Amino acid sequence: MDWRKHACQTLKNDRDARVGAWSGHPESAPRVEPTALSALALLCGDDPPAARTIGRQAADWLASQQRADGGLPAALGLDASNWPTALAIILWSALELETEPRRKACRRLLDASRDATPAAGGRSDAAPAGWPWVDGTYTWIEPTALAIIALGREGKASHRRVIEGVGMLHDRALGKGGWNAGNKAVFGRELRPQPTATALALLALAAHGDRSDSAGKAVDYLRTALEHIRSALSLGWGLIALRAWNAYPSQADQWLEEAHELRAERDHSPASLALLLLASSQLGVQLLIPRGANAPALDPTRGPR
Amino acid sequence: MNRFARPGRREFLTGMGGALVLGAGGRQLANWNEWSQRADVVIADAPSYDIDLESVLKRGLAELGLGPAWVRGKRVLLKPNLVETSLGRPQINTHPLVVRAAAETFRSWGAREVAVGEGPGHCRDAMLVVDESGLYPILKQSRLPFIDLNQDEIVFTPNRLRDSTLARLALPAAAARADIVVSMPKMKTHHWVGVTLAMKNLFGVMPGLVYGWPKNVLHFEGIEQSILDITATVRPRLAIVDGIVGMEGDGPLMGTARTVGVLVLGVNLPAVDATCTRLMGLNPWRVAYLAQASGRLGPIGESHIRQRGEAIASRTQDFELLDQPSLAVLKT
Repeated sequence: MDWRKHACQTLKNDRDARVGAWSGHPESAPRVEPTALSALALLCGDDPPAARTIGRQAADWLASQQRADGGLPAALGLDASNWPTALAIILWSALELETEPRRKACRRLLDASRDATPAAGGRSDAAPAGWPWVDGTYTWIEPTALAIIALGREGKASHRRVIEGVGMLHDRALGKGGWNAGNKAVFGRELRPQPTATALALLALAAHGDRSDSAGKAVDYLRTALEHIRSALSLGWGLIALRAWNAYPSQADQWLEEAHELRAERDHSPASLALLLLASSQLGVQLLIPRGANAPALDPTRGPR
Repeated sequence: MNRFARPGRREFLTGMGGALVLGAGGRQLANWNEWSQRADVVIADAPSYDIDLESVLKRGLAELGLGPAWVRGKRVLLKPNLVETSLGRPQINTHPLVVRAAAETFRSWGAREVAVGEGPGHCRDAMLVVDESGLYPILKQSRLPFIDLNQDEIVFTPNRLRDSTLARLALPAAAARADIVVSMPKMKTHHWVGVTLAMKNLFGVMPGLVYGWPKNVLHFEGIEQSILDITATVRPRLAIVDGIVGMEGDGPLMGTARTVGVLVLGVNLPAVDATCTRLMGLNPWRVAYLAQASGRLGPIGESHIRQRGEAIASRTQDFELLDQPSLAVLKT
């Protein structure tokens, strides 16, 4: 059986049909991140009508988790809104659900606190800010990228918070290519790039129609790094980003199959499986950053599709 | 308004707090605070990762009075330090062979369950860190389950110390239900808090789902205060420090390898960390969180730690530190 069919079936089996959502691990409580990513991944499968029905149920469950302030928590029982809010918006938007929860979540992201990640050796109030993992703390690359992607889908690409978030990504791009978690240097020493942070930053820049030198170097880093990475989360986000930048490696289908095989023996997270599925087709990228959302004229040989 | 107090400069500057609080007079007071406390710490000779580490560990644990009766029927969670991808940089993460030796020791002593868990602070992809640290083949060969503590189910528990403002702490279920949590850090310098050892390693227990990456909520609460709160609340029963190859300079990620050739073992974490700090040629009274742990979580005074195995003096190295004023006091 093609691994994608197997993966789709696994995702369906892992879903908690009572509530229409996915947990971090089978037989645990549902969560926002695996639910949003799994529902998106099934939309890439071979049964779109069924996937849309499942997606609607997931969307309803996400809405049921929304807090009064419009944000969603990372896990049940947490009394804080944080980064998965962006993922819920992306699913609601992909399903074209014009709902109040979607609008409230969008407002919540725009109103989220801004606190620049401390620069090397201390704080830097002048630094552009993005979004934090947890409200009220410093801002970091991955939640910033997710927020830019989500708000871009909502037609907010020119909002000052989004512009500032994109500026933060540029500010934190490593000289040698890619992004670390937040800072680019500590005590004057440049940090090493990380694949997931790099992938999400690249995806956000692609969504924003931004093709800068830092993106080009990051694509080069990611192409090289992914050659030896088979962990699903990093490979999945990495290949989604490379697809978005027309840089999907010719061997990548094989890498995905290897990662799927490896995941089956050690990693039972639906989110990681969903990312492999999303990375396996151009539709996966399209679901995350719709073509033409904000895209300017682009260089077809190196730049966002 | 932020939920969290903005971290002041002190939270980012280690040693300085200890230096202010614990001058010569302060140290005498603190020594007095811990006058009734005693702890055993073993420094076990381990010149390389290629030797029989399981035998080294068993001998060391026996020196501490620990054996099969201590472990039999218990759930053991091994918490190594896996912080970032590290291809070709063995000084960053706890060596997989040390993890395997600990797992085999506890299994052979009749542990009901042995698992390895980590919630990496910087890299959200725990499996990537497991792969690049070289741990995965060991987990597979030894059939050891790995738990991503960032993503585990969450259990809330009262904060036992309250040095931070957090009334309760979120713990991963795997840590909450373990009978024995073993902190297994790497012997490393740390550019913010001076040293990262068995106590600081417990930051990796705290779930990123709740505290973000790199556990930024805890940074806002104060790194030192959080270290103390977590140690008091997780209550690890044992520390095994990988000091075979440690890290000096720009730790905990960017420093260089420093061979010390020891494993350091003990059941009291401040005592273990103080001993490791001395082995690194640094003054534990100048490490703010160790000074603050003194008398509350355990002893750090040399006269209050019964040293077993190798003598500190014979194994002490002069670990390099970043050239920062806040760190220079650690050498005094």
